[in-house]
Amino acid sequence: MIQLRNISKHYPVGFGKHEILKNVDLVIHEGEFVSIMGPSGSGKSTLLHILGLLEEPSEGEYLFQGELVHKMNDKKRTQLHRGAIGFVFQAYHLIDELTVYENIETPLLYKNMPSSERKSRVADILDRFNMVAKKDLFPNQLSGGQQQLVGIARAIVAEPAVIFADEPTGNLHSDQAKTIMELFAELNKKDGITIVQVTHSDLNAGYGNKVIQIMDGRVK
Amino acid sequence: MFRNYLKIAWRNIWKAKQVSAVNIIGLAVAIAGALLLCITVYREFSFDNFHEKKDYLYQVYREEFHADKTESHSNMSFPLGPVLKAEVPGIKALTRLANGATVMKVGETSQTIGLRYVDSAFLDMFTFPGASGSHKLDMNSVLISEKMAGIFFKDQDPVGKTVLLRAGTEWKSYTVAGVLKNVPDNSSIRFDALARLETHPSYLRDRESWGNFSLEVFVQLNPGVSPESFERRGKIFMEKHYAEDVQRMKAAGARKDKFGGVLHLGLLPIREIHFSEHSNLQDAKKPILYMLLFIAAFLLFIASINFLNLTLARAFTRAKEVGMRKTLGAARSQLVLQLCGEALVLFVISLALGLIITWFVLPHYNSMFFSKAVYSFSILLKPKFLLGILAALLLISFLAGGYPAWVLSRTHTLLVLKGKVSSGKTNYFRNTLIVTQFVFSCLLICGTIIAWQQMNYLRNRPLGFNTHEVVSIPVSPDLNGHQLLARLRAELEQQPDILSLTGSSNNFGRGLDGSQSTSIINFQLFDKDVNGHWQAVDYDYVKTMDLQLVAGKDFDRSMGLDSFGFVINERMAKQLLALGIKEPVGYRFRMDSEGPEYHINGIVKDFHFKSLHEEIAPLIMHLNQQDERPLYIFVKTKPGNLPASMKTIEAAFKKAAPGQAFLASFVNENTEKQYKFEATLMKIFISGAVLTIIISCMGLFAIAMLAIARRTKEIGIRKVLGASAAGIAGLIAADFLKLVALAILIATPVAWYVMSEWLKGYAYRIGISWWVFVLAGLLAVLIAAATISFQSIRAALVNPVKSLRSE
Repeated sequence: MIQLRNISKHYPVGFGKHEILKNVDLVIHEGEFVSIMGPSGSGKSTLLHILGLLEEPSEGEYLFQGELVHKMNDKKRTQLHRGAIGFVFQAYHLIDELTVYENIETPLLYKNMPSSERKSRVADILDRFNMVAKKDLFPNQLSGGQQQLVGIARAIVAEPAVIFADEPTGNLHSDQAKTIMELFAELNKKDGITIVQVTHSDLNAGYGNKVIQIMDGRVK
Repeated sequence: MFRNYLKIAWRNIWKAKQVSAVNIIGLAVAIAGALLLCITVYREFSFDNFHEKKDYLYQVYREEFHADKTESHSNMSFPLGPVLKAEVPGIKALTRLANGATVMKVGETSQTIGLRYVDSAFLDMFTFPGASGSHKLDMNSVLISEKMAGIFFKDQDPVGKTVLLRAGTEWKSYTVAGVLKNVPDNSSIRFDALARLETHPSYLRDRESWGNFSLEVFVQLNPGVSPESFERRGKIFMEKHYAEDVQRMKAAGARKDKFGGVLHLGLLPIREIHFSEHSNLQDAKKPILYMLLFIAAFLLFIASINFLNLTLARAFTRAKEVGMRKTLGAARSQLVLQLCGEALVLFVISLALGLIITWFVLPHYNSMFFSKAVYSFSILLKPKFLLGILAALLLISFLAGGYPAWVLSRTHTLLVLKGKVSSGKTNYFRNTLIVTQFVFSCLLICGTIIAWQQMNYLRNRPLGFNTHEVVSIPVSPDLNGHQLLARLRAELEQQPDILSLTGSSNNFGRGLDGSQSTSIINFQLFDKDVNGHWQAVDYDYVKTMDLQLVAGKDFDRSMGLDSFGFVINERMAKQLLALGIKEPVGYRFRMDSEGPEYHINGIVKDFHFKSLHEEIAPLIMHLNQQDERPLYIFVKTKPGNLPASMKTIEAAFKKAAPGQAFLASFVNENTEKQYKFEATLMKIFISGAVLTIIISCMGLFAIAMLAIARRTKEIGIRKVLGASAAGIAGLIAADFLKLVALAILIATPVAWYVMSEWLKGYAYRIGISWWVFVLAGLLAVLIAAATISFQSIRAALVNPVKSLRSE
C-alpha cells in the first residue's frame, strides 16, 4: 500500500544542508498497525508528514496505493485527503467554532455527501464512540481524552484506508491513553484500517504489529 | 456545506465580539456616509434626464475669443432664434425662453410667480406633461402648473378661467388653456406658468434688436445632425449678423476658435446645462460632485482597510482551523469561498445597519445642507442604485475577504497547523494600510482648519460699508420703488432710532428674495475701452451705507434731480487717471457721440459691492431716474437696539405697502449668504474629517488589541524581567505612533499643495501658516495615542503569571 524508496529530506542551512531523513526505504502493507519510534529530533514526525502528503521529500520515490506521489497534482492530493487518508494529531486540532457533531461532519461535507447519508454516518460514529449525549458541545467543553475521541471519529468518518496519528496520546494521561490505543487496535482489527502512529511509548507501540525504529534520520 | 459556512461565520463574529463590533459599526457608518453622498451626486447627475428627446436637445451659447480672455454667455437676442432656424440647416425645432418674474392675480389672490415666455415649439421639444386642458399655447393663453392651480383656483377647474398678469406697469389678461404637471425637481428649466414670447413686455421693442441679449435659446437637432456641423455653420452665421463686433474684436487682436472665428456659436447638450459654465442655468459644479464621490469611495475604502487589517490579524487564530480543513480535504477555492462568505455576512449586517443609519440621518442631512427636503430615501430603491449597492457589496467582500483568505490558504498546511503564519510581510501590509488611513485623516484635519480660517477671514474682512446696522428691504416688482421710498422716508424720518434711508438697483449679497444682478457698462474715452459696474442709487446712499468720500461730494437734493452726475469708486478713478484725466472730480464726458454730457460728482473709497470671490471692480453710481425704480431700500439704524429698530421699520413698511410681505434683513446676513457654498463645503469637510478619524481610530483600536494579544507572552516575560508598566505601555504605543508620525510627514506637503490650489479660487485669501500642520499633526497623534492607550495600559497592568500561563 505504501512504499518508500530511498526517501531523503533536508533543509538548506547556511551554505550546507540539515539532513532529517536519509535514504529511507519502507513498505507498509494494507491492514498493518505500524508504530514509528525514536528519540526527539530523529525525524519521525517528518516521516509521518511525508507519508501523509503534508510534506514533500527532497529525494526519492513514494508510491501511495501504487501511484507515484510526486507526480500527483494538488487536486489529486486533495482527493486523497478527502477519502483515503485520515489524520489524528497530538493537539487534537478540532475546529473550536464547531460542535462535536459538526466537527465530525466536516470531512463528509468536503466529500459532497448527501445530507441524509451524512446524518446516518455521523450518528453511527457517535453511537459507536458513546458520544451521542455530547454531540452539541463545543471542543473546549470536553476533556482532552474526549477531544481526542472526537479527533479519531473525525478521522475515520470518511472511511479512510489509512490513519496517520502523530503522538495521539501525547497530551493524555495513561487511562485515557489506554482507551485511545484500544480504539486504534479495534479499528485496525475490525475495520481493517491501516494505522501508522508516531509514539514515544513502548506500551503504545505494543498495540501495533510492527515497529519502525528511526535514529538520526535512518531507519534501523 | 453553505449552511456550515454561515454557521461558522456567525459563531466567529460572535466569538470576537469587540473586533466584530468595530468592523460592523465602522463599516455601517462608512456605508451610511457613502450612501448619503451618493444620493446627493445621483440627484445632481439626474438633472434634465426626463426629457424624452434629450439626445437631440441643446442650449445655444456664444463664446467671444478676446485677446486676453474668453467670455461665454448663453443669453441671446430676440431675432437670433428664428433667423438661426431659417439659416442653419439641421434644426428640427427651436424655442426661445425669456424669464419674467411677475405678479399673477385671480380675484383677490395675487402672488409673484415665475413666468416664462416661450415659443410654440417649447412643449413639443421638452417633456413637461399636461394634467388637464389643452397642451397648446395660443397668443392670449397661459399654461399654469398644478401647484399654481392649487394656489389660485383651489378646488375649481382653472381651464378657461381668466388670470391677470402684470406686464410693466399695467395688467394684462390671459385665459388659462391648460394645467401642466409640476416641473420635476431635477429640471434646469423651471416655471410656474408659460406664455407666448410674443406677449413679452419688451417683445415689440426688441424684436429686431440684435444687440440686446436677454433670453435663452434651445434647439432640437434632426437625428443624424452633429452639433459640430451646427457649430461650423454658426461661425458663418455670427460673422454675418455680428459683422461689426467681429471687426472690432479682430482689430483688438482677438484669437480664433477651432473653426476660425472670433465669435463662436456653440451647442450645449441638455444634460450638460446643469453643470456648464456656459449656461445661465448652471447650478452645480462637477468637480465638487466628483469630490463628493471621492469622499464616498474613500470612506468605504478606509472602512475596508479596517476590515482587511482585522481579518489579517485574526488570521493567526483562524490559521489552525484553515490548516485542519486542508488536511480534511478542503480545496483552496473552497477555503477562499468560505472566508469571502464570512466577509459577506459581515458586510450584509453592516449594510443593513448602514441603511438604518441613513434612514434616520437623511432628514438631518437635508436640513443641514439644503433648505428643503431634496433627497429622499426612495432614490435608494431605484434599480440602478440597488444594483450599484449590490455590486459594491460583492466587490468589497471579495477584495476585503479574499485577500486574507488567499494569504491563509496559500500558506503551507503544516506551518499553519503549527500556528506559524508568516507575519513579516503581512505586518508591512498592515502598516501601510494604517499609514494610508492616517494620511487621509491628517489631510482632512488640515483641510478643515484651513477652510475654517478662510471662512473666518471672509466673514471678518472689512467690506468698506456698514453691514451691521443697515437693513435691506427688497421691493416686490408690483410696487413702485420711488413711491415706497418716499412713503418710508416720511414715515421713518422722525423716528429717533432711524438714521437715514436710501434706495438702489442692487442689493449687497443675497437677501431673502435670493436674487442678485450685475450690469456692466462699456464706453469709449480717447478711443480706449472703459468699463464699469453700473448701479442706480438714491440720495443719501453714501451716508446710509457709511461709504467714505475721498474727493468731491455725494448727490445733493439741493442741486435738483442730478441726472447726469456720477459717484465713482477709486478703481474707476484709477482707470480715468490712466487715461490722462488728472482731476476726475468735475470731469465732463460723453459715453457716445449723441448722448448727454455726464460729469463726476465724487469718488468713494473702494468697497466690496460684490462677494470676496471677486476683486473690487470699477463702479459707476448714478441717481435713480424716474423710470429706474429702486429695487432695494436700505435703512440705517442707530446701533444699540437692532431688533427694536427692525420692528419700527416693519411697522412703517406695513403702513406704506399694506398686504406686502416684509422680506427685510440686515446686510451682514445677506453678505454671509454669498459664502453659503463655502459654508456647505466646510460642513462636508468637517463631517468627512470626523467620520474618517472615527473609522480610522476604530481600526487602530482593534488592531492594537490584536497586536497586544499576540505579544502577551513577550509582555509577560518583559515584566518578569523587571519592566515597568509605563515602559511596556510606551513600548506598544511607540509602535503605532511611529506610523502616525509617518502619515503626518506624508500628508503635510499634499495638504499644503491641495489647499493652496483651493485658495487660489479666492481673490482675497489667507496665507497658509506652518502651525496649521503642527496642530493637525498633534491632533492626529493625540487621537491615536488616546485610542491605543486604553489597550496598552491594560496589557501592561496584567499579572505576568496569567499571560505566561496561557502559553
